[in-house]
Amino acid sequence: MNRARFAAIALLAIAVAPAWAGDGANRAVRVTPPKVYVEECGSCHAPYPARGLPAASWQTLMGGLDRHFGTDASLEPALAGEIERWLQTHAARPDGQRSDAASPRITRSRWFLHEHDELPASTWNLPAVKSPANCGACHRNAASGVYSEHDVRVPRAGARHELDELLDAHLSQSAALLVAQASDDLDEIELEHLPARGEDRTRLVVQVWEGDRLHLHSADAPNRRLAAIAAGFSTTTVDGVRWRVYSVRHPEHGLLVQLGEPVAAREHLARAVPARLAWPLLAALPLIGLGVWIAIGRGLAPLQRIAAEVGQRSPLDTQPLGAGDAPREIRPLLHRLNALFARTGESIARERQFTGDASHELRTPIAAIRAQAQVALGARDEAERTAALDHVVAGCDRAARLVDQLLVLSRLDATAAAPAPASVAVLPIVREVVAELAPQAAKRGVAVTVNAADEAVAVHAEPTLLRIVLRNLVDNAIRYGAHDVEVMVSARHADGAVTLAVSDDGPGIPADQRERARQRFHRLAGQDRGGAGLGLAIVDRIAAVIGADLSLHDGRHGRGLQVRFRIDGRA
Amino acid sequence: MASAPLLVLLVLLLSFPLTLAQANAGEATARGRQFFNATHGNDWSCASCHTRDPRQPGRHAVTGRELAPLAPAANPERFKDPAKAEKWFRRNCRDVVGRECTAAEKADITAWLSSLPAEGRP
Repeated sequence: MNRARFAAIALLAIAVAPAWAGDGANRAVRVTPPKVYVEECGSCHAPYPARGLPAASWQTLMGGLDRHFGTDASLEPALAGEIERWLQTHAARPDGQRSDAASPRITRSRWFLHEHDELPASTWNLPAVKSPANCGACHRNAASGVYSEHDVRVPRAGARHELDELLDAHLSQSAALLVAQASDDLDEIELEHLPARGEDRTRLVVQVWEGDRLHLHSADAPNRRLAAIAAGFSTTTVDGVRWRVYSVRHPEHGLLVQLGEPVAAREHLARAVPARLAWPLLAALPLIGLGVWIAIGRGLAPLQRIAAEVGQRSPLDTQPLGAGDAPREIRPLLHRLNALFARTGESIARERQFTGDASHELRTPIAAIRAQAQVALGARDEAERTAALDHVVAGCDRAARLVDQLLVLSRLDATAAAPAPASVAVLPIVREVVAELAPQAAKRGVAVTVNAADEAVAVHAEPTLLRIVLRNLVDNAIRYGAHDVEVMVSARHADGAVTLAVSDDGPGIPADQRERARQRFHRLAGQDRGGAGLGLAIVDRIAAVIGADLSLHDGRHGRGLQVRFRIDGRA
Repeated sequence: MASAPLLVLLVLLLSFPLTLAQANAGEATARGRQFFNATHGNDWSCASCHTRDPRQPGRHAVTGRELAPLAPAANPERFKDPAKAEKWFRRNCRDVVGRECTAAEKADITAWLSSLPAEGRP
């Protein structure tokens, strides 16, 4: 499964292409400029926010409109005055800016840089942006002079743009090389390293202009001028062919070098590159899919093997599942399952033993009753028949008691450890049980005494279960005791634990047999008092159910047996 | 209908100066086109911002701001307001030519821009 997970993650990594979602959010600059500002200044550039510059800088700018960043932006004095007043009213505080005093530029102000600091530098070079001065590229309401962060949408850089940048860089570098080469004598300019277009799709053509005269040109260059502008990049159409042109003036000769590349060649490249990248990817995808499929299949194979193994199990099979090659993820599950199988196995074994023992124990009294009934049938006189029938009745009583005890045990086995119920007083139950068993004690000449340090001793236990415990313990004590039985109830105040101790003066149980005495149907060797050996087993089981502690000790004065049943105070 | 030949003659007579004007107009548009696309010894031409086909939207060569088409065929608002046209001639001629344009030059440019049909080669 680890492998499957790894494969899935790898697939995800392939699928999630790195996409930069430029979602710049600038803080709002909500000063709506006057109409005259938007009309006059907004004709050539976005109506820039007045707070972009301090008042002094605006004054400088408005005073030199006829030489406004290399262009004539002169205005009628009245209009210029109106605009300048508005700009100064909403200008930046003088201390917050640091601009070039001669030609203050908003795009170099600390405010502007701070507002745009989350944008990568490449954003300014996007074809849709071109310059930081082109506010409208991102600020959709810049044309009306409103700059709100809610109106910002930064254009994305596409792969095509990256390619264009790369080719532009190549173009300008080639032009720089040409100019550098030509610094000695322009007539000897080397055009050989610009291969003709027909040869290998290399695309550059060059023109060298001396004024309006074409001084020099490469073989494929058109005779008309490639671009009107004399510096930098431009995209033009000459004789029906679109060109990307880089123009540069030779610093000494004053000649104009124009290096052109057909836009069609770029478009061919833009189509060819993704196609060449796509084919291997398309070919690889089925392979990747197959690999993922196999990896997941192999990763999940142990799980399927375990599922099949569990499905084929017989209900009584409690052998643990093999965790050999199981993935680490499902090993805890396997351990829990194996623990469950172990508990189920124990439970099944106990049930089998119980069923076997119970059937044996039930058959014994029935055989005895049958024998006595046959004696009664064959009796020749009244006395003999009466005696036999008395034995039959006694045998029925024993069988009935045995069935009762078995029922109690089976019910207890089905009882899981239950939360402790409300507090119940112990002494009334003790007295009740002793009164119930009084006739039996009288018949055997055994005296039963109850000793309690505190009348109000109470435990958290089910009263029915407590009654069963007491009846079994007192019954045993009466059955095996010689003369007297003491039932003692004591409470330890320190932790609230309550101990019921039932002592007799009978033969007791040797220390080495006390543990076995708790088991079902176990009877001590040589005892002849009837019973199936279930009494202590029942008490032991109840102790387990209610979380009590059963222990066997020597009786008082070193004779007989004392059984202690300690119920935890917190239970 | 005796007036028919007279009418033909009248049409012919009237069309003669029109043909002359058309010939003049043809020269003016050619000069205007040439002036528009020339750099006049500097780095910029009118086409640097307005493109060689002024029916297309232009782009300010420095700021990148999009400019509405200059030819009236594509933008009927152009040359409607004489004051506005004068203002831009004054500014842009100083940018491109380095001086203000003469009335003749402005007439040539206006003639060429106005002559551009909605479609076809500029």
